[in-house]
Amino acid sequence: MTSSQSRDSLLRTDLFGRTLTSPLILASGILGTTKSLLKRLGEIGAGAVTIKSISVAPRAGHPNPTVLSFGPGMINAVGYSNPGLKKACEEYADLSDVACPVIGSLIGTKAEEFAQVAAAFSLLDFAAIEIPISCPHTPGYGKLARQDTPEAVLEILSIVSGETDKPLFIKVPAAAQNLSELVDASDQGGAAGITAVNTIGPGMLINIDARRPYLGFGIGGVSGPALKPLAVSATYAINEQAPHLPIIGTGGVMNGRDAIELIMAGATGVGMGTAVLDRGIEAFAVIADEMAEWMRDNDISNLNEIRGAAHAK
Amino acid sequence: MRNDLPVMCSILKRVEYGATAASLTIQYPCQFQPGQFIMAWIPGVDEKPFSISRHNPTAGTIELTVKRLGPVSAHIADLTVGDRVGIRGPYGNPFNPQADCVIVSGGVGLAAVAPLMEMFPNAPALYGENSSTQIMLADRFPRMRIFTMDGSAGEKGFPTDPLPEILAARKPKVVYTCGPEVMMAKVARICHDAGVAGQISLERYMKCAVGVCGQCCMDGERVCVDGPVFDSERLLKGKDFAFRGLDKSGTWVYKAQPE
Repeated sequence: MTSSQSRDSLLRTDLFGRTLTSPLILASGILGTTKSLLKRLGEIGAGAVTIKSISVAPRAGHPNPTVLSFGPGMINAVGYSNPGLKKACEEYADLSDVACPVIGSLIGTKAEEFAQVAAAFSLLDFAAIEIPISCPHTPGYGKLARQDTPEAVLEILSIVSGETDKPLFIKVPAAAQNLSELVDASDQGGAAGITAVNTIGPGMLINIDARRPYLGFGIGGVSGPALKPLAVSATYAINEQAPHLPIIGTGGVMNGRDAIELIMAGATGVGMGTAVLDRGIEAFAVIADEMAEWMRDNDISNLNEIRGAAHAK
Repeated sequence: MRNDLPVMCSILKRVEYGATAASLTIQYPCQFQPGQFIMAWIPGVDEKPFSISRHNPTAGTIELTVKRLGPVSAHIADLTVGDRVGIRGPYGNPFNPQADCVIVSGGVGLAAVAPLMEMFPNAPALYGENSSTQIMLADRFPRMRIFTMDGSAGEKGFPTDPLPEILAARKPKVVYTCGPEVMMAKVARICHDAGVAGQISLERYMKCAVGVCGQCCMDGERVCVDGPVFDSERLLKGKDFAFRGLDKSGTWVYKAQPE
């Protein structure tokens, strides 16, 4: 009797040792600035939420404009603005009233910084820690600091896992030429899983009347529907290479069918960010409803039945 | 998804108010409801939210009334006829307009309620400034009851001073307010005591203005899309109103508290 199965029982997902009510996860950098917003997203029905990335020292980020919708997608260069580790630990000291698991996102420019944030995060009630090595537009971090190499991944994982036992997820770049090496390094370094993918970039848009780039920082990361094929292909490739590693497939998910597509590529969780722009903060409930409806129509009673289904057997 | 990139628009007219403020009329045809705001971009400098203080759908213009409070607002207030500024919007939830109202503003908050004052010419309008040199839009709204803290123009005191009496006498359906948050908190409490609805236009540091970045969050709401206009009872029940807001790094900055 799949046709009457509840949304929660259809979408129930096991990830980082927890049971999520849905695979839909708030991607880092979207809305995750305060506990009150995480709480609201939990109430709406997000499966899990990721905080905006935290560094040791506060960061003002790049000047505005930092986030712009351009029609086919969104471009952003927020520049890792965050209140710094001390304030973040105050903000997220008590997560007991957030209804879903919370993922801590950790950034650093050098070993001591990764260690310091990891040690402090270890004491908070984060279900997992995500480490983006893939930001395309912030000097000192991610791609601009060559953190997207297997050597850097191994080093970062070794430092962070020395400070915490929490499951670690490496967030990889979109369209990475060295994806298989990054996955190997993540696996060898003890990562619990992979988030695939970050925004793609650097991208730039110029206002021809002003003769200037729109973004305050000039370049930024591009997200939205056109990122989906890159997220799907990365998820598919990672799942082929390391089927034991859970993947949070992230990129261009705008509806329930997109989310199912990532699950069929092999994702366990499905990250969402730009969908909030297009479909509002309720996207976490609306898209979950769309997934459940598709599952009922297709006599699927559990996401495990279709996970990785697109892979040639 | 919508194309929401800033469009470069010409300044058609500029009116100055002393050394502190200016109104700019800008060619920008758009749909607008009182209480909404736009993002104004100075290429290579910064982008910030500003209330629309007047909308002329026939001429296809909007007016911004801007005080020189920081580097960006100073830059925008200094724009002259023929200059261009990048505009995107309007954004946000508007006021719910009802004619039986009282309008209270302080400082540059006057800009956000000016379209309501035009829409409801019989509604009492109270407006406060520190001093006579800062007064704006006095020619457009001669009926405004002006208050200054130093008594250099209008009545000495705050625009909230006569509000309890006005509410008791007129029993309006709603009070609209925009201004310093400490003033709006006072309005909210006066409305609560009088059993009158209040609609409050908030300001927070903004980045995206479209509800995705979380920078303008208060009490789990996003000022850019869930606001900027909120019901006063809703705000009184929360904890962040007149208490704190995020700065551009996402650090809570605590507001001056009433004495």
